[in-house]
Amino acid sequence: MMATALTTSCSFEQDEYFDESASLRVTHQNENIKNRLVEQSAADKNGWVIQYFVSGTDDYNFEGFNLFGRFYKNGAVTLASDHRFLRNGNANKYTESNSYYDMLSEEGSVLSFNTWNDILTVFVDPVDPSKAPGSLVNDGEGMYGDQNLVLKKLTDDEMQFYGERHGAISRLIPCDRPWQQYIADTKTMKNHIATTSLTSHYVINDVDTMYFVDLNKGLFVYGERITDPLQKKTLKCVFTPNGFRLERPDSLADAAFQEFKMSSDSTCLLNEDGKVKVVACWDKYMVSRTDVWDFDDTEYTDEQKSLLSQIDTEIKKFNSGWSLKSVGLGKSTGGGAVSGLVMTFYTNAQKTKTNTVGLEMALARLKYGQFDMSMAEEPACDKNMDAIVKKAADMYTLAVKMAKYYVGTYDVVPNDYFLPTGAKFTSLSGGLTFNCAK
Amino acid sequence: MKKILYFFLATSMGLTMSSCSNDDDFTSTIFDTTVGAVDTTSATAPFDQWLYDNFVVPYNTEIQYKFNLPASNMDYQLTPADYKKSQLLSHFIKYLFYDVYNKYGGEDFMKKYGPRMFHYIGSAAYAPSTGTETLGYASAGVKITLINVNNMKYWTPETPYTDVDMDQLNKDQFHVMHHEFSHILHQTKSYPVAFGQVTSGTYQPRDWQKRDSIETHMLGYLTHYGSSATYEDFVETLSCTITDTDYRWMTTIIEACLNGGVKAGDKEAVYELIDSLGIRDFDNPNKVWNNFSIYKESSKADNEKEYTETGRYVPDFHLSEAREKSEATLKFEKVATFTSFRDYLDTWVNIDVEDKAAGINAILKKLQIAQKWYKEKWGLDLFKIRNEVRLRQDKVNDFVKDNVTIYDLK
Repeated sequence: MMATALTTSCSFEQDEYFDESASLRVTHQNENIKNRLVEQSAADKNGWVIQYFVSGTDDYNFEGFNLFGRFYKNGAVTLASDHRFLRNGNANKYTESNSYYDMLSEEGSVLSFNTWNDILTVFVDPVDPSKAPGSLVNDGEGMYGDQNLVLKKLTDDEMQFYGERHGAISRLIPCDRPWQQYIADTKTMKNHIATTSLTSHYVINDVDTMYFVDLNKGLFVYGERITDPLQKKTLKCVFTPNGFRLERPDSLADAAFQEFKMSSDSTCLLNEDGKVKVVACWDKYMVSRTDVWDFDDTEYTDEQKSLLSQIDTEIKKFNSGWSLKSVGLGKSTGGGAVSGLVMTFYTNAQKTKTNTVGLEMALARLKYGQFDMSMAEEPACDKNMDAIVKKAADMYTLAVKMAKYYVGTYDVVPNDYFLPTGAKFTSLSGGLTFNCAK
Repeated sequence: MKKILYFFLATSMGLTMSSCSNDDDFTSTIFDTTVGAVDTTSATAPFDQWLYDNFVVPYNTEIQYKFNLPASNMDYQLTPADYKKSQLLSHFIKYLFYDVYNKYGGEDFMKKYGPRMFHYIGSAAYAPSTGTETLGYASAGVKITLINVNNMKYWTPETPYTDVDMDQLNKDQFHVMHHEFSHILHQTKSYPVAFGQVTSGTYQPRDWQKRDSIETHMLGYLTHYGSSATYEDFVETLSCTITDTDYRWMTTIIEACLNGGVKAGDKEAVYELIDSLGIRDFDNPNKVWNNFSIYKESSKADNEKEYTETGRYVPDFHLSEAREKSEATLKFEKVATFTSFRDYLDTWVNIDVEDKAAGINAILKKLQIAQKWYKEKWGLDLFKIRNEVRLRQDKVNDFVKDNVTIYDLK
């Protein structure tokens, strides 16, 4: 058996770059970090927001999570969250958990959560499949989270760490409000900018545009086009009261971005230097939406008012109890529903019930914020219209006349750039300038 | 995924020598010399003090209940242990492990031979690639790592420990502890070579986990993992004797007698073993060992049309395991039902005249060797240790109620 002994001889003749040894530097850095963690956790402050991203796997991408922490000088730590992986019936419920932490000196400063904590350690747990929420993670692999966090960056405003085992990313920033308020404000922002109805967004700067989807799932899945992109890239994101932040920086045509905040005019989210925008694809949503936005009845011309009066008279030939409620743009609700001009009628004297009649018009997006509204010479209609014209023969012609007022090209300004419920249509050629709203 | 449970013994040691000359002057120490053995300012100080008083001072043993990632096994995804469960487990280790050996081995026994360190891991340790789960590991006879601590039931006056809870605690923690501690003992005083010769031809270092319980027991092993190597077999024999439940022992005995029969004298030895183990309610008709059936096994591979008898008998309590482990499709035909273990052993189990019997005969032989080694080398009676552990387990609720304080983080 061959034995090998490794013997090294070193003489240090090196320049002095530091005032202290590496060990002392780490020790002092740990003291500094712990002092800051504790100071921000004082009773008159709100502790820390911990933006936490598990490493995940090729099969499973998880969103970023907002955790909250108060660190005490004696090593105790209180963590809190309302994330969906909390156990014991606490999923999605605000929960606090106490455990122990330590600042370790290894190759660098390590923030170690070294006793079990219900908030954080579930991300590290290898998880028996029978206990895995929704069988999301493979047996024995877990979510690839970390509880030992190595310091990566320390500034006056934040501490960034990466996981010692899996590289899970975490960022600690002082919390500027009570934790449950932060959660509520973040939910409000998330529900505003990332709904299940409007799931696609643009990332824009002066040079380029990209698309991304799934922000409502806490993911930033982007490609060169929304439908069937050639390449997709997924970054996790965590929501903030002001917008959202990606797990790591990225760039668009050399413009770097990581965190987006709502612009002062609420039209978009802006990155750190304001050069990259995130804009919801509200214009695509406009084309595909299924609700009805009624025309502002204070804007009708005298000719239109006369026409509406004729429609109201005509509908009584079909049913004397019916009356015209409104006219708008959207998708009718009856059989053979069509998108275009939608007339809504009250169907009882008490005006508590309604029905719609649709005439097909095409709304096409020309470019961002610009639309063309067109109509065939003999536009299709829905089955309600077919039924009505059997008794009210002029109804179809009257509807076509009404629709013709809106054929044209428009600049459109939505009332909400993330999930519009109405818009101002300014005529560029043909048509009328009008407002409509849900 | 069906899990096979096993232990891991790490005995490799590395040596690196380096010689450095450094002309720098010493700077101040990086260690905090103002802190005593127990940091009284820590949130965990009361428990740390208890550990210091009950493990460090008397045994020079450290209990690392705070997760130490670099000192853990990076092959597994592991989590920290729960603080309160760590406290409870530490009390159990004292009550059910150290105090037992103190009583029978003398006051110095654990001071000399006890492990120097325990490291608690909260989660299980899965190896997804092999479908195995490691229950614990020992490092060079110094450190015992206990896994799955968070799986312990937390004791409260309203939710005291039941027999089922103690069985789980035995399976998860104390079986591991006795297993790893037995490694420390046999690394100090080696066990007889004869032990490894009893079933020398059937150890399977690589594929032991593919064996089912029927095969494991008929070959003369108490556990699957015991069939991987002689030294694992040895410590499993000791650990099973101390911690295995009556159910596990009796079903093992039934299976070990089932295929191949027994040798002359074995039946009498089985009754002696049952007596030594102190099997409770032995003649109770509701116990599994007094109410079971035997099936004849046939198998059919995917490319075969007909079932062929495998020549094995399988008891009803392991039919599902036989099916899970087999690559072929299995069919079972009931051949006998027993309402008493005595009836089974006395009338159904054959005396093997061709000298082929392995199962129970091998287990009895190995037990005898291990028991003798335990007595001669250490002055300990294996069955007295088992009995003492069981008596203490019977009183565990009173013990916790009267002796255990669980601290919150202050």
